Amino acid sequence: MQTNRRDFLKQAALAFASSVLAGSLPRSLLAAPAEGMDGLVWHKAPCRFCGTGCGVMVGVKDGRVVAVQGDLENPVNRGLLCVKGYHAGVALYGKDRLTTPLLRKNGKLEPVSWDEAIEAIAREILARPATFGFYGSGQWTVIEGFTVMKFMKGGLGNNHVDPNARLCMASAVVGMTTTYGVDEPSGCYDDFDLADTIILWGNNPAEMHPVLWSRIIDRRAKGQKVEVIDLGTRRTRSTEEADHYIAFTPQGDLAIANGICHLLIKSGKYDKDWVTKHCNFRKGGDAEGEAMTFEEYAKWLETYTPEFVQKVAGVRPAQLQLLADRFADPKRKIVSLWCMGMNQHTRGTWINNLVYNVHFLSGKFAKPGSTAFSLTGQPSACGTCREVGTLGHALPGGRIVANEQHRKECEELWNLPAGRINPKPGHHAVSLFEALQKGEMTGCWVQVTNPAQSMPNLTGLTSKLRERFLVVSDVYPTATTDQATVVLPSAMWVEKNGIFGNSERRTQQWFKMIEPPGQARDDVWQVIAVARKLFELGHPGMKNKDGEFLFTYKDASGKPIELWKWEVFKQTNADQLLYAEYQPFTLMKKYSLAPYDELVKTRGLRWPVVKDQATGVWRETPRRFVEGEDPFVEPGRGVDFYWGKLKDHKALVWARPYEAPPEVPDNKYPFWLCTGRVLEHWHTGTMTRRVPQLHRAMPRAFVELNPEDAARLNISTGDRVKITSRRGELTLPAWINGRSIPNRGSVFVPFFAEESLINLVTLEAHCPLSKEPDYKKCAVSIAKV
Amino acid sequence: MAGLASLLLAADSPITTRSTVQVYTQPRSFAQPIRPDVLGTNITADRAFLGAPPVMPHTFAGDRDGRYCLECHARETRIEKRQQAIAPVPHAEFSQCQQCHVNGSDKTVGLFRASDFLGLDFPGKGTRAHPLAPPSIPHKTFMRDNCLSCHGPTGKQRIATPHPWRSQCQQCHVPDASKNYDRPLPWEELKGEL
Ligand code: SF4
Repeated sequence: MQTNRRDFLKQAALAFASSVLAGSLPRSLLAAPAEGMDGLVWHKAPCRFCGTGCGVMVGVKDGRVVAVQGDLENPVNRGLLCVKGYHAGVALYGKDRLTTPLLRKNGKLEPVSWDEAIEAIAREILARPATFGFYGSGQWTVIEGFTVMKFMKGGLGNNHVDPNARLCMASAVVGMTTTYGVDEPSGCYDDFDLADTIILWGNNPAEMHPVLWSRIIDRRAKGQKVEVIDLGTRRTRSTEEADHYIAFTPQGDLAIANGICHLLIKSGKYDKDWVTKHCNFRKGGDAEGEAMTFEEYAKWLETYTPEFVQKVAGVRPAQLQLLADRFADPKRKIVSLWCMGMNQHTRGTWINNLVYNVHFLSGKFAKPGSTAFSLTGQPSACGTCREVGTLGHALPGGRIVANEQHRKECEELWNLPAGRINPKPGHHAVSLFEALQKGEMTGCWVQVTNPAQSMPNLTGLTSKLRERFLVVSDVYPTATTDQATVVLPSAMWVEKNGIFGNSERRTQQWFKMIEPPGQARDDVWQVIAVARKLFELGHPGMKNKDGEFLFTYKDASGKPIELWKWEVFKQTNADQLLYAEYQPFTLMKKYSLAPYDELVKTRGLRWPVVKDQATGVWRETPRRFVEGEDPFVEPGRGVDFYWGKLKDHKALVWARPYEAPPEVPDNKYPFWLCTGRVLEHWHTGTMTRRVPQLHRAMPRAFVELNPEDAARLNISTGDRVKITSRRGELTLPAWINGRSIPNRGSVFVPFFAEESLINLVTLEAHCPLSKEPDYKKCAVSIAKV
Repeated sequence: MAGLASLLLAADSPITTRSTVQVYTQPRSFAQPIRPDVLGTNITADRAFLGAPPVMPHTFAGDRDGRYCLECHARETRIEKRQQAIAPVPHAEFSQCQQCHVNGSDKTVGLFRASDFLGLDFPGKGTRAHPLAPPSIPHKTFMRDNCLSCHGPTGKQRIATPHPWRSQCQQCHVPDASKNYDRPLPWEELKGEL
């Protein structure tokens, strides 16, 4: 049975009246839209932007979003939003929304009907199915990602699906899977409320995860003591709240983490009990490695003396000792936070492993207030890319294509003939665009992202897209729609049903609140419509085991719902249908997502969500692997890494060495270049720049220099500065002592501005394990022009 | 040339030196002139819709450190000291001001692309039981703990209270539950019968 909002309200009202629920569900938790002044209706949704996953209340009047407020009932943000969240509704209303499908004819994009666009795409895929890829994003809803996975891996039979999340948290994923055998963090935001010390590893939450930052820093206003130690290559807004700023040389983080472990073991102040109970030791650079003993590990660490760390990381011995002392203090609760600084790193997997090492050796893990927490950039990088597994090598629910059993399970759950799923992993993001550049891949469908602006080394990776069959689903014209063969106008955020999964494993659902503009339609519908056309054209992969269309869902009377027809799709909650299909995929790896109806009722639930047999209540899991919280922990273990690589319920401490970055400053290119976001803008700015308040606050890109470097080069704020690397160049106005101050010898440029593409300059070198590129360091020269 | 000179003056001159480094405002586009009239501090605050955080209406010292904001906006006592009307912050429990209040001082910046957004308008007057009764509060009260932030002498004349010396506003003006959709009242949480 399907539920739309109105039905749900009716059911909710009935359920509330029944005595079973009345005792357990306060009315305010039902998340029912509330009607207020003059026809204004408020609905719950997660914010459209970052991985924090704040709850918003969206005010809708006369079919339009007119206001957005923080959701007081949402435990993530408790009513607060950052400036992007408040203005998420404004981002829907840029005058240049794409409202009709466009097809390139004689070199020009021209309006066409949906039928023509869908047919053109289907015919192209039919002609070259093996070399057609799909490139998506962590801004896909869970169901959008799942639909594409079924279409590509279950239908087309090639695995060339990868998301922009590859550029964002692939290193975090491989870090977790190599450390404790399964993706996603153990801790949760509640730990931020309890920690005595917060350590930022190349992280700037004041701008990137603002509401989480407030959650931490505003504790001080309540009289609580929170120490912040900022390890960085740039003094940021976060540094302003820090008790200690420890500047380090790019890539030096590897040495710092090993240096802390070395000091902990040398002084004997590591948590022997925790380590013995919960850890194995492993050496080697790859994902497999070899066993080693604790003694061998301790010996291996002896390289990482404070003097060595000072040499390669530029950190003073006293600073390293300060960090070691914090971890050695048995009473102190510590949370480490990181995001792109550690992930966009040519040794991203290693540095993720090493920070877990520090927390394991000190026993500061899986305890209230102590955890190592990898923040995610995008609103559903966790929910969609990682849990649904929209990656070249992955299948839904923590499975991989290379594993026969996993393929078999997916084929069964999708009702596909045996052997349908291709065992060969597909391209990862960088290699997908390399293959498109070379012509090895002939076409690609891009949804919810803008690779012609966000890929590294743009000249080398995206300059030939116009020659391929590029389909782009988006809401505004972008650098990527400029390259497209077909442009499909999409519904955005609350113009469609959706589900996002945030950084702390919280799955949040929302209902469609307004109609998309013009002929814009849901991405899920677009994929199903193309699949249907392929089915009609006779593509064998678009059939399930019974010869029915791949996306066959039936109504209560057993009649197939013709989802490929827009009129039918519009009347149907496809999210609910597809989620019912997806949810069983999540059980194998114990992700165990909540049923749809529970998501509807709540402000999201942190998985695993398991029904309490005694009370019938669905219980979320704040901390994973912790007895008493995680239902899958074996009683008596306390902490149970039940997916541990060696199947002995333990995690791995990895001996990963320091390694110099692939490109370091030299005489010709003497500066480090780091790139990133700013508070006001989301990614490539296609949405946030259309919000007047955000654009006015941050209208253009800039280059930040260290004041000493600037003085030496006679550069002051507003001067034109040319940045040149081995790959490209860009001229920008300088900003000295502005938003942030890069360490001496480094410069910073944000990537949101399409008229100032810093990715012409960046390097495509990537972590060999996670395939995530390093946007945070390459060598450039700086000249005032 | 005049444009460039004013750029260097306005954008480069340190406004305050509270921390060890000098603080500058954001870089303008190349040699874009700055209109002197947008540099004052008495420009009306601007917001996208009712409930949106107002943008900062004046240039401000130090993009990096939000604590500067509270130097002036922390308490009402500042109003007398400075001999100038400065809106006190209505939600003192939040310290990261610049997460929500971004710089909106440069009105010379045009739009990136035109927008069709129509924001929720101001709520109009609260209801009164009879002509002499105090009106109810016609909007949400979350994050609006200090009524005088908006209704005091620093706010818009149109909504200024005629009796700013009476500080216990909510003794007489009560929130209207229908406008406070997301702050559930205890009886809405009531489980079962009384
Ligand atoms: S912190 Fe992130 S999720 Fe929260 S309002 Fe800001 S952008 Fe949205």
